[in-house]
Amino acid sequence: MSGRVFDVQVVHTPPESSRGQLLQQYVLARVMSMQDINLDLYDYDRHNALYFFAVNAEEQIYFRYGGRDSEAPDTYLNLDSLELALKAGLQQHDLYREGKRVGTAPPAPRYPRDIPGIQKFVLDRGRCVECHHLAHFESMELERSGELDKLRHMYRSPDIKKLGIHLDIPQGLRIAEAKGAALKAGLATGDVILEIESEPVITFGDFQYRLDKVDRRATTLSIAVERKGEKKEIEIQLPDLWFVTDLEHRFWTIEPRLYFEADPLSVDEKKSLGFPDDGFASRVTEVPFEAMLEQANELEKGDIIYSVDGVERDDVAKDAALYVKLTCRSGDTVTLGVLRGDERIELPLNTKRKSFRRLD
Amino acid sequence: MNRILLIACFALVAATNAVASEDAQLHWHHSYDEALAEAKETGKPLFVEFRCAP
Repeated sequence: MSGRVFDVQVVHTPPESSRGQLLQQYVLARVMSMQDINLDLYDYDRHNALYFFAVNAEEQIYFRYGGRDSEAPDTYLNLDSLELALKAGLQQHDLYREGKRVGTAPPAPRYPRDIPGIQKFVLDRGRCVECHHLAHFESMELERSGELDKLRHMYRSPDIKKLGIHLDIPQGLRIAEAKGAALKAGLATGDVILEIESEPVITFGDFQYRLDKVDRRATTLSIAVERKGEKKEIEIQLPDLWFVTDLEHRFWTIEPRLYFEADPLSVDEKKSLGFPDDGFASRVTEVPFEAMLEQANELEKGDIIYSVDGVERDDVAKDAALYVKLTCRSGDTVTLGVLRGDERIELPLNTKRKSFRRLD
Repeated sequence: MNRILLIACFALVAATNAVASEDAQLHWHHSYDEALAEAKETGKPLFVEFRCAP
């Protein structure tokens, strides 16, 4: 099911259904343009085309609903879990009104118009501010200010399966199976996750959002779960590179632009050509004509790229293109090690800024 | 005359169904500020969907 189908199912919920009766206890808003939205309040990975929040009139967030993995945008979108979340949101609202739920000061307002690229390319042209515009121009602003940390800002949707946590998705944060680090730490089937790093979580969206806030250098993660009616604290030893995911779905938004596409060689092919099993070696599948116009590179289809400035492998990046994207700024030049036919040659790669981000 | 009456009846039924169908829909604001204002007025919580244009 695509996010689009889920969207339609939620928006067109029959009022008399149990979900419809829950939704009628909320004021409902469907926002298609982010123009007047406080971005720091409604903070989420903008690579989610669909995302929900339950808040109160004082803009206290009760829960987030959404989130994704690299495989699909809708892995965790489920009508049953949404219904559970809506019930929990109403309980939170009652607690808030009774003064039993502590509020937090909402973040200072920051609107799309405060981002120069959005103002110039989107608002001044009378266009709707869409989430992918925010993804592009927020990254660009971070890069300009020198605050862009690609390991932090490009990997905004950590995959909980990497921690060994497999959810019973219709049941919200109930664990279907614990494997790897989660199993080792003592998590078990049937546990319901209540807190992460002492922050309460109601939905997968809350969990992924809080996980994303964890320092990339952290080695442990504290989780509280409910087991047989009791709260239990568990500490997970985070595996190496726990936050790293496949970036394919957001690859084209990451600066710099490289003007080539390549597919990794199989392990057997790497071995037969004398490259490391876990090295960069990948075959160029496409070089757009702009590569010549922009004097970006002289690669040819079929070339095998095996190194970048002499580096042939990396813990995070599994191919040369991602390695360049994670380590270079737009405008940097690197030297590619290339196998063309039987000949090993070196070619310069002049990285470029994506054209729609060239504001200067 | 009968044909005109029949068409008028069909049109009436169709219009009634359309209204009924509209009545059977949940009301979603398209303006965040309007929804927030209603939440302030009614004391209800707000459920906001952010939908990136398809």
